[in-house]
Amino acid sequence: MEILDNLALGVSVAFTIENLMYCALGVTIGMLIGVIPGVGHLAAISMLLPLTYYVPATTALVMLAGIYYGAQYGGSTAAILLNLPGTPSSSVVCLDGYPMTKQGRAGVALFMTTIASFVGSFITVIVLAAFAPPLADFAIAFNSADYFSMMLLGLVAAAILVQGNPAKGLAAVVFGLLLGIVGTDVSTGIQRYTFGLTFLYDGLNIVAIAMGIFGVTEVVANVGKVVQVKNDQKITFRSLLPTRRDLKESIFPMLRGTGIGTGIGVLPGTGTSIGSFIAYAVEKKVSKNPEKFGKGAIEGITAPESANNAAAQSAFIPTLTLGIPGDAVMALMLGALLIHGITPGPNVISDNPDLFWGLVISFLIGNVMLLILNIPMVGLWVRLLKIPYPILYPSIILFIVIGVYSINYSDMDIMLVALFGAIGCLFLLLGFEPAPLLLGFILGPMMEENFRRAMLLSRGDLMVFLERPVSATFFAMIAALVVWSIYSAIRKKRVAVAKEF
Amino acid sequence: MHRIINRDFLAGLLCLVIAALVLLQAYAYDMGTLRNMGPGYLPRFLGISLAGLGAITMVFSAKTATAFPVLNYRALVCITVGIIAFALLMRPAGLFLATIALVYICGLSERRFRPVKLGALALALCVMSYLIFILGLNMPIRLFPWSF
Repeated sequence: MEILDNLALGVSVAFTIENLMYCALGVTIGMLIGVIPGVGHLAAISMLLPLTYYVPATTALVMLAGIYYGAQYGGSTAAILLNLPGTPSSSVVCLDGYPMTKQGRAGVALFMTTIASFVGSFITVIVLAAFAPPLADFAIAFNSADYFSMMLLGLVAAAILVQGNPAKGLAAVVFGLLLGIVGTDVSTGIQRYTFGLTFLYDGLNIVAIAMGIFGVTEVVANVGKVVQVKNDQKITFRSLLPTRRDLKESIFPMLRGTGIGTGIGVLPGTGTSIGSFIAYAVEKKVSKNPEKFGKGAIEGITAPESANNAAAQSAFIPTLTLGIPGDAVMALMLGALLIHGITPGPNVISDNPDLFWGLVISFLIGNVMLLILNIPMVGLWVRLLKIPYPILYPSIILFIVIGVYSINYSDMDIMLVALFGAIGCLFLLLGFEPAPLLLGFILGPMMEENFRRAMLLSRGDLMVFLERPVSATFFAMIAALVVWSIYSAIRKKRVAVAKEF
Repeated sequence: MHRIINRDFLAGLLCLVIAALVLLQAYAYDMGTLRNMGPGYLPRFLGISLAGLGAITMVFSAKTATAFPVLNYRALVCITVGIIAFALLMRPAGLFLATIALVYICGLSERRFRPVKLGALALALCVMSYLIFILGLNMPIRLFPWSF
């Protein structure tokens, strides 16, 4: 009955006043920024990062995680009502959510997406609780060659799945790896690509890069585009109620979406958007009448919503068990762990059971809170959409720069935000995806270290990657991915899974 | 000629240029051997890979390229300059003036300049960030040029 003890431990951690408060704060902020188009959860997390220095590690993670999955709930609101995705992952919800609004079924759509989000999250949290501890036990036996091949698989998957053009996706990864080189080389102590600038000796600040390339670029792309829409539609409580048919048609799509989201979320570097796109594509394929998609099909909103919430939760599996962050948000979570002296890796769960189980229980509490925040208070969130963007975006930029400044009190970090904002726009212009770059930056130094260690141990024999069964499996998967992408590029039948940023 | 220079062609070209710059610097670092890698091993490998990927992208660009997206250059310039101004002002002049500069410069991205509205927004944001960051979180940030 070890699991009961663990859950009891989690309950005792999660139900302290402090953790409940920060959980509520996190999910409310997440919901808020999710609802408002053009404000990403990264900006919110950066803004609240200074707060995490003042609270224990578990509390910090509870709050940051709340922002992350809270935003997944909120994202669909603007997508349904205004045809504007609140978060990138909810852009697929626009396809059928907005037609439902035009048919006067906005209330039903909002209600069903909330339920779908809840189902997706809840099931995945249980998966996390069930599979993370054994996976961590398994990963303790990993050596550096296994780690290297696993991270390589993550990078290749991110490069190939995120972008229509595999060569450009891999190039984006290489850009990230190159940025990761900047700073002092851990094995030899030599300064690489620092050009004598002292602030580069510790490497580039990940928050500054993430804020510039995602936050600032997002704002630039939205200025002048996000128009304030007069939204006269009243969402009454009664209009929320779905028909029996809506419910019946949603059950299996939600479960399929959850499965897809969980599987995709575990892969590093894929984020939540891809899960929802694939879930939509799958629903369209299995549906008996695919022609109703795009015209207000309920499966078209519930499956992707379940998928992106499931992905947001299952992203914690590699982060907490292997110490490998799947995206920028997860990297910031690992940063919060490091601040508190906890080294990310397979030992986190066994060394800090209170952290892991407290987090699991807090996810469940947070999802119930979001359900309460969503259904009775839907009118309030809808009203938020009336805040004009010209007021919002200077505020977002300000909070981004103060958040980045607060990490090291360095004005050079703010300069980096400006620089990476411009680089992000160049990427947008030339059609590179920013997510693989960031992943390359995060994983690069870890990969170099593990590769070096593996080469030292094997005396420079590259076959070591194929001799170990774990590593060989990862390499087989990499090979399959590459072959598949080349094959589909030649056949030209490839459907882009994610649309351009 | 114009049809050759498309989005993916330029993307590949960017890869090649960056690869060249990376490789140029990489020769300053010792390469080592596979068994005992020096600091220059990875930069060299990545530089060559990037050049290869850039070349592939360029070769296939006529087939793969899509149209350029519309980018709001005015907003890009205003927001970048606004952030740089904030970075320069933060330490010597304090949060108050830096915030006002940031909000006004960012506000120039709109076609219509609304000084009163922006002023009100800047003031409100100053008060808010003072309450959250200086009073609430005790962060050592200068507020006015004459503070501490």
